[in-house]
Amino acid sequence: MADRIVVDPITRIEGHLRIEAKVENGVITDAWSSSTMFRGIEKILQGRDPRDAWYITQRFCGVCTTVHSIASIRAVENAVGMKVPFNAEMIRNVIMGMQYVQDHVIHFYHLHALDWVDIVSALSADPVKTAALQESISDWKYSSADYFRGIQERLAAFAKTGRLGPFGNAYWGHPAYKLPPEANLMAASHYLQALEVQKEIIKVHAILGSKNPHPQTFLTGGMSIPCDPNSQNAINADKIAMIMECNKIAKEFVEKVYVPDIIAVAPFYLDWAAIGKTSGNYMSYGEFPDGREGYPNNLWLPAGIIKNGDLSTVHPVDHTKITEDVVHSWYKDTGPRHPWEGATDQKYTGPKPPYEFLDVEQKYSFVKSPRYEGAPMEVGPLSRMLVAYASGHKEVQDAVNYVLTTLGVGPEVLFSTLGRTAARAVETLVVAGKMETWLMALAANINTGDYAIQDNSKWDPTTWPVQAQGYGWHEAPRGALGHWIVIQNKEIKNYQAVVPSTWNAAPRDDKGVRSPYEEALIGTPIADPERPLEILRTIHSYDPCLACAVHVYDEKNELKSKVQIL
Amino acid sequence: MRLLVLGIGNVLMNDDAAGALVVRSLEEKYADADENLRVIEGGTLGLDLLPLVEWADRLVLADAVDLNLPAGTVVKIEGEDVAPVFESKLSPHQMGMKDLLLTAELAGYRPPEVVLYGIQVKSIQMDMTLSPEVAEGCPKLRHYIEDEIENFLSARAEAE
Repeated sequence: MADRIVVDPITRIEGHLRIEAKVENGVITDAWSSSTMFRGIEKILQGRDPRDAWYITQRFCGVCTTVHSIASIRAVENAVGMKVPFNAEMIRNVIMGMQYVQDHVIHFYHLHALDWVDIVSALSADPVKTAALQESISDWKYSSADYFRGIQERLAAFAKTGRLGPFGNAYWGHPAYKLPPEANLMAASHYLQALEVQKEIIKVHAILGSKNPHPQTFLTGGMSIPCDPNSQNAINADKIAMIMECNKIAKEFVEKVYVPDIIAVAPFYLDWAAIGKTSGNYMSYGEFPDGREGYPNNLWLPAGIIKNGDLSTVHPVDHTKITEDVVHSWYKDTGPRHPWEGATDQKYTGPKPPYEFLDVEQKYSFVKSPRYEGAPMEVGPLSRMLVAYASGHKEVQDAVNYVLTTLGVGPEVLFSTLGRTAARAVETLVVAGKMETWLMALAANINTGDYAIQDNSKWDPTTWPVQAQGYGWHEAPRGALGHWIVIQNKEIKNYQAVVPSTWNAAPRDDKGVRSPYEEALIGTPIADPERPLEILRTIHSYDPCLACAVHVYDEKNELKSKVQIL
Repeated sequence: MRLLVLGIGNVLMNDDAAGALVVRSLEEKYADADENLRVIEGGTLGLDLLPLVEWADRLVLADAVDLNLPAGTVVKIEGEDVAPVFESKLSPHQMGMKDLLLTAELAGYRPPEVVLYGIQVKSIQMDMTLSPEVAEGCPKLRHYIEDEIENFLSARAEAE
C-alpha cells in the first residue's frame, strides 16, 4: 500500500494548513491541501459601515496588516465611485512597495531559507573560507573571517542552550541539504542581518501609517495623513528623506545579499528547477498605479493571465470570470459562484478530531476553490514576474534575464519551486529599485502646491446609490488579493475576500482538478517520509499564509507546575 | 530601565482578543506617562514587534492562553518559563511570539525580564465578542497589568 504522509501544524490560529500526500516508490503521486480551521471573516462585516471595513479587515492577517486595508478601501472606492488623489496613490505605492520588500526578505530568510540551509552544518564551517565565499558573491560590508567566527560562536552558544528556537523543528542533517558548511554559515549570518534590515525597512510604515503594527492612516477615497511641507506632523521633506534612507538600506541589502544569495545557492539545487511545476496558469491583478490617472490605470506591474505556461500571450483579467466552488469545501453546496453572490455557510462534514486522514473523496477543507473561467490559477511573485516578463516590462525582463544568464539556464526553469523562490528575489530587487521614483513623484507633486490627499465628495453615504457593489484588488506580496463588497442602504450587505492562499492552497474543484499546491507536489521526491523536507520546500516557496506554521508538530508539553494562578 | 507592555491577540476572534483588548484599554491612559514606558496592543504580529522588544528591559505580555483551567482564570508565567509556553502551543499566538522571543534571544537582545499574564480562553471563533467568563476575568487581568505599570512608575519616581 502506498504511504500517505501528513504535514499538519495542528494549531488554532495561524497554523491552519494541512497537506496530505501519497508517496509511492519515494515520489509523491497525489496530494491534498486543506485548511482545517473555519474563518468566517466575511460574516462579521455584514451590517457595518463600508468605510470602517478596512479597519476590521486589517486584522484578518497576522503578518501583513496593510494588504487587507488596501483591498478593502479600493472595494469601497470602486463601489461608490471615489477618485483617489495622486498624493494618496503615491503614498499607498510606497506603503505597498515597502510591504513587498519587508515581506519577501522575512519570508526568504526567516521562513524559507532554513529549508535549504542547514544551520547545524554551519557550525563546522571554516570562517576564512566563508569570508572568501562572501567576497566572491558581492562587496557586502560584513565579510571578514572574524565576523563569521563571531556568528559561528553565537550560533554554537545558542545551540548549547538546547532551545534552537526559530531553528527548532527542522530536519538538520537531512540528505536533501546540499550546501557546503561555508555557504550554510554565510546564509546563517544573513538570517541575522535580515532581522536588522527588516526593522529598518518597516519604520516606513510607522512614518506613513502613524503607527506600526497596524497602520492607521488608510481612508476610503485616499489617506488620512496630511501632506504639507510646512507642518511637522504631515508628510514633508524630512519625512520623505527618512523614507529614502530606509529604502537605501533595503536596496543595498537586496542588491548585495538577497539576490547574490539566490544566485550562489541555486546551482546546488538545480534539480528543484524541475520540481514544483503547476498546470501553468498564472494570474496577476497588476499593481502600483504609476501615472496621474490613478488606480487601476497605468499599473507599473501589469495585470494579466498566462495560460498553460505559454509566455507568448498575456490575457486580460476580468473579475466577472472569477468563481468560487465548494464541492470539496465544508460549506453548504451552492455551485460555483461569483464573490458578489458568495456565501459562507459553514457545514463541517469531516472526521471528528483526532483523526489520521481526511476523507479526500468528499469535502476536505475550509478553503473554497477559486477558479478563473473554471481553471485554477497560481498567484504570487512568480505569477507577477511571468506576466510582467511576457508583457515586455523592461525592469523585470532585465532582472530576470540577469539571473537566468548568470545561472546559465533558460526561462523554462521559472516554472518550478526554484523559479518561485528566485522570482520573489527578482521582484524584491525591482520594487526596491522603483521606490525612489514614487517618493520623488510625491515630493514633486507636493512642491507644486497640490496637498490633496482624499476625495471626500463621496464620503457622505447619503451621496451613494441605495444599492452599490464593487471590488478591490491588490497584488499583495503573496499574490492576488480581492475583496468584493455589496452595499445596500449605506451598509455592507455582503462581503467576500478571495485571498492569495485561497487560490494556491484550495482543494480540488467540481471537475476534480487539483489546485496549485496539490499540483505542484506531484512528482516531488521524498527521501524520508518521516521527515518530508521536500514538501516544505515547495509549499514554503508559495509563502503560504502562514509559512512559519507549516511544520510537523509533535510537541506535547505540560507546564502547569510553572504557571502561577492569580 | 524600560518597560514594554504588549497585548497580543486577534481582535476578531472572541476570547483570543482578551490580552490585546486589555492592553488597548490602557494605551491612552499611559500614552505620555513616561518616556521609558510603552503600552502597546500588538495584534497578532510577530517580527514587526522586534524593534519594540529590543528597546525593552522588562517585557510584560498580556495574552490569551489555553491551560485547561476554568475559563477566565488569570495566570502569571515568568522568565525562563515564558518561552516554553509559546513553544508548547499553550498560547494561540505561539508561532509569532515564539519566533519573536527566540529570535530576539538569538540576535542578542531578549529583554532580561519577561513576564506573561494570561487569561484562560473559552471560545475562539470568528466574532468580536468575549465569552462572559473571559469578559469577567478581564478586569483582573487589567488590574495585574496596571500594577506592573504603576510599580514601574513609582520606582522611576523614587529613582529621581
